[in-house]
Amino acid sequence: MNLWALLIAVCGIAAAGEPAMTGKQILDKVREVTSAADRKATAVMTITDRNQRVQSRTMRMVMKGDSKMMMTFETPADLRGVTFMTTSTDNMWIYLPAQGRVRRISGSMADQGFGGSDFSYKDMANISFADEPGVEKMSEAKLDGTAVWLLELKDGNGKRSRLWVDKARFLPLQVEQLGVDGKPTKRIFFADFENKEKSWIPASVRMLDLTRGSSTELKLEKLELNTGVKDNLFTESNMKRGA
Amino acid sequence: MLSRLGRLVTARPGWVIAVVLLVTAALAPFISRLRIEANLTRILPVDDPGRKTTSIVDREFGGSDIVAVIVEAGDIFQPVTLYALDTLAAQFAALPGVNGVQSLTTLQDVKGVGDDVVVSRIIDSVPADSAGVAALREQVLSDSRYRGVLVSEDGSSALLLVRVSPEADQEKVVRDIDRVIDGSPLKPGISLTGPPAQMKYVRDWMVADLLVLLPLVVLVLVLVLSVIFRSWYGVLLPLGAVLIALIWTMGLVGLFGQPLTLALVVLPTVLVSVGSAYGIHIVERWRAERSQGRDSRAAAGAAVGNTGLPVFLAMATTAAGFASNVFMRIAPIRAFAIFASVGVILSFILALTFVPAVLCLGVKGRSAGSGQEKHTGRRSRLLAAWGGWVSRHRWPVLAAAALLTLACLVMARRVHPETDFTSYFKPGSMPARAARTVSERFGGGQQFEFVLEGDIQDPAVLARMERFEQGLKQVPHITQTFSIVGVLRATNKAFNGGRPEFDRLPETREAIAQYLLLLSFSGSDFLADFLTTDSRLARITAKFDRQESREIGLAMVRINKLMGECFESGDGPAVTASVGGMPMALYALHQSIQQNQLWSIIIALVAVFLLVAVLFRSVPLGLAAMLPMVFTLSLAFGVMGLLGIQVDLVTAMLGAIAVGIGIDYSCHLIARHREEARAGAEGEELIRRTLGAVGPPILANALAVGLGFAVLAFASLVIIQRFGILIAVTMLFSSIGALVLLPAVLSRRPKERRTQ
Repeated sequence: MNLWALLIAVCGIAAAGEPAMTGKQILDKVREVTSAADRKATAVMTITDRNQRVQSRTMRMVMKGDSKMMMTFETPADLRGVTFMTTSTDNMWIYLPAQGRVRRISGSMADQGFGGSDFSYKDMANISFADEPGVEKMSEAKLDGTAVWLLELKDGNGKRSRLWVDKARFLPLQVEQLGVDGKPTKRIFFADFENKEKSWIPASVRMLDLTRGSSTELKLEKLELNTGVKDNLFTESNMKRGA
Repeated sequence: MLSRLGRLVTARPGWVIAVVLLVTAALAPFISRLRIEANLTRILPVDDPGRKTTSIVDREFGGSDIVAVIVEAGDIFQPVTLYALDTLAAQFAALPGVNGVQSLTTLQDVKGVGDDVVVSRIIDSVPADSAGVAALREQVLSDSRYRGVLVSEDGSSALLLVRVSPEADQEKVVRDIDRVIDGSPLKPGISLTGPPAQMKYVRDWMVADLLVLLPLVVLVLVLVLSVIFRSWYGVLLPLGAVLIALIWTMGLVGLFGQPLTLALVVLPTVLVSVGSAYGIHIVERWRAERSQGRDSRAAAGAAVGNTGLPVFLAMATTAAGFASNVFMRIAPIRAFAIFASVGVILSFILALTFVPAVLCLGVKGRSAGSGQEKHTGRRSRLLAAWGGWVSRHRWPVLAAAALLTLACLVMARRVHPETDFTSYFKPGSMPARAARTVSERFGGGQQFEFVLEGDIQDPAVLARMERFEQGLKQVPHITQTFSIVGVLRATNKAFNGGRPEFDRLPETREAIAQYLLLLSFSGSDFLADFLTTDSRLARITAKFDRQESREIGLAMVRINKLMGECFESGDGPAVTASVGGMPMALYALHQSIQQNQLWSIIIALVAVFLLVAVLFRSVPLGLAAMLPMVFTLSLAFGVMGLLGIQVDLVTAMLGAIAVGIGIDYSCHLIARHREEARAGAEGEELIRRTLGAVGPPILANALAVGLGFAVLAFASLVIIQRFGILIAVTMLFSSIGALVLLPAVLSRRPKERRTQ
């Protein structure tokens, strides 16, 4: 190879910069760095409604995979022991200690606000982006000085969203859910990423409901990953025991 | 001073006209800033307790303004109809400014099915087969939460309740709703009601009336006055001056950012009718001066100098009459008081400057003895003869007037304030029919709003709420109530397998809190409509199927008693309760009119008395000037009582307007009476001369203004129609007061002097 050929080759590589990635590859990478086989944490949820009324709730959460989850309320006192459990998207259970019994609840509840918060049950269960949205468009951008990928996504139901991904670590930094008119309806900020067991988990998630004017902050404490949560944890009797 | 003004104007007529045109050019652009405001809830003062409660509902519970969309489809339970209903609901919900839609196809329900608790829409999907439809019909029509609420009892019509966000432009939302309906196959059977829709119709019709009727009023005035005066400038010039005054006034309304409310919308008509008289008097006097051989300029100066005082008095008393409404608590009526007074003052200024300036410059005027003068002469003789008759029969005339006044005062007792705005519309019109349908089939289009503050999760507080709701249901015309109590009871029943014995409130705070948590999964609005997130505020709504002030008043008495019993007495946790909503707004408006109307009339009469007494330096003359006013008002309210017309937002101003307009005649008559008395006339001759001189213009003015207002009888809004007819009738009574009653009263004076 003569000198000229070498120069052209080097320039070519330099011009290409980082190896080009597709939107799907970025999403896969995000999923890879944020996933864990199971998770345990204490979640402190602070809900601020549009009139600045603040409520705080503490829950113990255990999640396995993308679909199994059990949540038990610790505070406030009148909700202590209330437990939610889901074993698949359609199967949701609730234990109300005041009634002393477990009931299966069904209907279109997965999309509704969780316990008066701005998070839907789906949001709670799928913080790791287990959905399979298609990437419609991607570009490079800056978010508060950080170089990011900006992905424009559309899921199977036609719902659009935008995702800002930290280019260096493939961490999701911000999500905007868009309405039918293309305007953002919810904005979610992920922060305080903790690196555990080779996974990056956001210890702070804040969601703004731009339509309602409310916001919810979820802070994860005592986070444990990959502790070997068994499938048989997710039973009615464990709900009554408070997991 | 007026003579000096006359000299000043006639010395520089070009300058006067230039200044008038300049001011007009400066103020006219502000007219484009005018915006119409038909929303009744914004009429009340901000410190009104009902308005305060309504604004808490707006802030905490997403608003209380609801557009009721009625769908009449023969049979709602047809797959095609249900599907179209569902589509409509979804389209309405997606509109900007809409805070949620309640309909058969969107309503969430908590049900216990076996061991499951199902939180879902009543209709998950529209059934495709007849068995599914029949089952749905059975389910919906057997449930009192839906039957007569969202579907009529016979299943022929459905209701969609579209909640408008408090911050939204209500009119735009209603327009958007109309646009969605245009694309629906159900369109032929759809009608709208509910306050935001009714306000929009009021606004649309108000604009249409204003655009068509104001020019028509001007045309009638021109025609009537032209026929009477047989002179174009005698009519067009005063009208031109008052139209300029109108441009200035409406420009000022725009400049000060005042919304055009129902009250202010009638201002142009009132001003054109009232203000044109000032210019007419100046032109009349100018013509009289011309007929005595003066040139245009000298005649104009003399007209201002000689006619100025009675015209000033007429203006001052009219302005005082209008201004007396400043004491009304209702902001639009206060705005009317201010701008009507300003308009009257501006009309006066222009009549004394612009009119003589134009007369100086461009009008020749006819000489004495022309056909027009002959006509005036004939009318003068006729009225002079009439004056003679009145003077001779003053006691029978006074006795008849007193009897008539008394009889009318008795009839007037039947007149009450009425703020039912469905009565603004003609009985057969779409808004009136829609309001009736909602009242008859869906329990009413208006609702009382109750806000409770306390520890709502406390079982004792909920028990009080339940007792209150049970009491509310006993109040006549309250058809349905909604609150967190019903939701908690339904949830308790659902969680316990749908067993009827669990259709009751949970007993412990924990159970209540836990049910509320469960419910929070059923869609944010489900709970947020009735309870704040911290459970400190709760809302109860009570549908009311009547709109009449009287019915609302009766209900309010029961409701206030019930609130006292349930929330203020006895031991237990503290709860504060307050009431608001549209019926309360209407009731507050009703009370405001009731409390303020009499005062505004009394203030107007006192102001008139003081002005006349001071300017003529005579207390008896001040009292005499009030008599025709009392007569006119009694007759006007007597007619209202006789015809069953109640006092509404517009007719509330009738009293003060009647005083304001009617006093002009008295002022002119009294001024002329003194002038003739000074010239040596006495007794019957004095009355003959007085009536011969001012009778024809008074009659002409009453006829022109009366017919001008009568044009409003063609208005599309009943409220405007009534106002026009009543003012026309009042003009008739005012002229009778001035041409019959006042001469009879005044004819006492020379006799008194003689006996002294």
